[in-house]
Amino acid sequence: MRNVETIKNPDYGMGLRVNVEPTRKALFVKSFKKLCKNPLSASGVVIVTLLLILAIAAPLIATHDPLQQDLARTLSAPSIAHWFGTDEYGRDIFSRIVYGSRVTLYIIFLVTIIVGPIGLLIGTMSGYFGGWIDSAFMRVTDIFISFPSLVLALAFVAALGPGLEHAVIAIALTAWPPVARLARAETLTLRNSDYVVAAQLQGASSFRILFHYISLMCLPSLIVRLTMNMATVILTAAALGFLGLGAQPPLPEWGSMISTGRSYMLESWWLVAFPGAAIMLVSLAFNLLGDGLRDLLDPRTE
Amino acid sequence: MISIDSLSFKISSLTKSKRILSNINLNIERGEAFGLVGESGSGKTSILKCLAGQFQGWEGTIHVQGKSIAKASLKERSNTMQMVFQDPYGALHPRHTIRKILNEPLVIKGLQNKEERIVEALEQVGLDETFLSRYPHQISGGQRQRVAIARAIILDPDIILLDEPTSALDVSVQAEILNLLANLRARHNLTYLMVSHDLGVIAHLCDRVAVMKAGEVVEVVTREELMEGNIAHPYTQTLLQHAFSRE
Amino acid sequence: MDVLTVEKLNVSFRTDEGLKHAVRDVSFTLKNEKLAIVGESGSGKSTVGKAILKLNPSSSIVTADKLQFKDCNILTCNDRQIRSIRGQHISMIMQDPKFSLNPVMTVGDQISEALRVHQKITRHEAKKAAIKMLHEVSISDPEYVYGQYPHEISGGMGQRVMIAMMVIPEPDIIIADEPTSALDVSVQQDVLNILNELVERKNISLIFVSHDLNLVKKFCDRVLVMYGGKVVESIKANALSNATHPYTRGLMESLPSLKHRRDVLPVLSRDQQWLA
Repeated sequence: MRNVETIKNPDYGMGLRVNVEPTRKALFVKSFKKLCKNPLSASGVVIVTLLLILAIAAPLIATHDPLQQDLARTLSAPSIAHWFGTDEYGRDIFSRIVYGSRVTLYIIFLVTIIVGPIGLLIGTMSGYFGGWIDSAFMRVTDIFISFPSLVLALAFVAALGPGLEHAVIAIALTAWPPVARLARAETLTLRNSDYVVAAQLQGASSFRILFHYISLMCLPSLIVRLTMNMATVILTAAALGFLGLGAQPPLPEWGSMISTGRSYMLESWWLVAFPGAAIMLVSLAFNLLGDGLRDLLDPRTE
Repeated sequence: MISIDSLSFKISSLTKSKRILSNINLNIERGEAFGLVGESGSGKTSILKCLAGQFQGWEGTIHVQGKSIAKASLKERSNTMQMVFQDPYGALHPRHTIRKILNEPLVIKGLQNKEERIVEALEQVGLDETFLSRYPHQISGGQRQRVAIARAIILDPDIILLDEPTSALDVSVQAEILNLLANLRARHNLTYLMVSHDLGVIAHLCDRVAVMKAGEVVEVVTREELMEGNIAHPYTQTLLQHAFSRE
Repeated sequence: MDVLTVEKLNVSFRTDEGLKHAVRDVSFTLKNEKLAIVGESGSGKSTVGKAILKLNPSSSIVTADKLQFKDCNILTCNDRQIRSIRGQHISMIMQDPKFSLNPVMTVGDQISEALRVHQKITRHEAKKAAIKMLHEVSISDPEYVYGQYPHEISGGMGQRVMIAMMVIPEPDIIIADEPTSALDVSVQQDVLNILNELVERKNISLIFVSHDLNLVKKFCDRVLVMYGGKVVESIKANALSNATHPYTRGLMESLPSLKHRRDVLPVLSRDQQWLA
């Protein structure tokens, strides 16, 4: 992209302001600064960033091997050696939470890249074509929405068998309908806009209009929705893990850590408190981040 | 160039049907600038929409360059007709750069020498290359309308449909755009079909004017007849009176 | 007698790029007259109108040497005082009645409610008065329109209803911000006539914000021409054809004319000097 400093304004020389073209990078930095101005969304950004660092640098941060059992030190309380204590097999809880962030991020990432494109595709097609395509897609969406998502996810995992990948598929199946609805609503407002009509008059194919014109405009609200969705995904993943249907032991997953810690909860609170706090903190952070992004991206809130 | 015969159009919902256009007959010659004038709800924009394929299910016949457009796809129409819209804010995709906006029609048509064509089209409308990397929100309303005109002419159409192209602009900018449109028409031998509520603007740009009221053409007059006040229909006279009294 | 005195009014907006100066050193006095503020978009004409009623968004900074309405200094008014000025002494008519009328209340109910705020009358009396008001703004079937919702009536009708509501408190000043630009030409004339008649009969001063030089030439007594936030020319409306400032002249000439058609319209060339 070229960066042009100043231009002559041939027909609007009010002299009120000179257009200085911001580069993409400058725009990004500006938005990021705006995002960080609000203390709530800033804290969301910080926690999510910490989560990412935690996941990437897990081997460097973790003090122990998360799978290393030490039966001599089972259920020891938080101490200098074990910051968050140890579990019933003597595994270091801090290290398990650090590695658990990888599992959490893995689920969020997979669910989002499955749900985003599917929701966008189905929603925009529904909204743009209307008619029987719309009816068909929306009835399917209605069916998925009419079940409580956890129950639906449970049913799928029960059918597919427990496991991390199956949990991801199950969560994705329950998460796409709201996204599709959102994309459809956006498309309905966009499909008669002048620039879409102009593109049609230039002979652009429906496919082209959907991908180059409409999707682009749906993206901001979709990103906001998906970010907010991540909180729900974390909770559902934890719930599945808790029920023993998600990540399988010995993989450190926050939900299943709570589940196994449950039996020792009364005498060893740290088994449940720390993974619980991690889940709460991270899902809260994604909610705050989503709120911040909405203020930033959604023109209607201004 | 464009001949419209007994064009009628109605929008029907479950409960009621509303007649938008009834029995429109118009003949527009090659190279002519033809105006449609009327108050809001008179159906003037609906004629453009029928031509542009935005409205389906009209009755009657429309021939463009001797061919009926009833069965023509939007892609076929796009070779001969392009449109310029009223609202310069809504007509350009907010997240496309000017380059992308002008590049799109070329990509769709699979044309070569894209960069040269884009620059040429921009020059035609009086903008230079520095605009290419800008987004619509970074330029003024008049400049946006110029870009929209550039997008319309970049495919070398014979006909341009103009839907109130200056009514959202300031008068000084309106003068620039009207000059530009007159200029382009002379240079490329374009046929214009322009909709406006402003008789002054229509009389400035168009050779002939159809006056519309409640979905019907009440009268077709030439510019000279209009300026001399040499008109028959009382409705046209009222419109003209209003326009004269404002000057 | 001066109803309103404005001296060195400045308005700037805080934006991401820093302060944007929208109105610079605007001074004028309003007598019992129809004053037009004319300019192109971005000239600050609406901002002046809003500043008088302190209706600018909170991101704006308004300063003035003097902003005097009769014997009340608007600059030092507190919220309660400014609200009473807005309600009783200075009314505002906006461009689009669709956005100024309450969409979930019938037109008539809105008028009678406005009446009941200002006068101690019963519901029934208010209804009667409202119908009379609708009649006054030349609505042919007031009883019918009374029961309509804002979306059911046309733009011209809506603007008449707005005018009816705005004259209820018998204000001293009406600020009309492009009241007719959303309307068809023939309706425009009617609405202006009604506004004119009411303003003259009830002795109201009018500030008419518009972009349409031709219209204010006919309708107003005096014209302030604004450019880039400054008043570049203040002139009697009937002398507008002999305006001296190149900007005013340029605006007048760039209009396409039915009487004298020119092949090429003169284009306004702007001069940075005008802002100096």
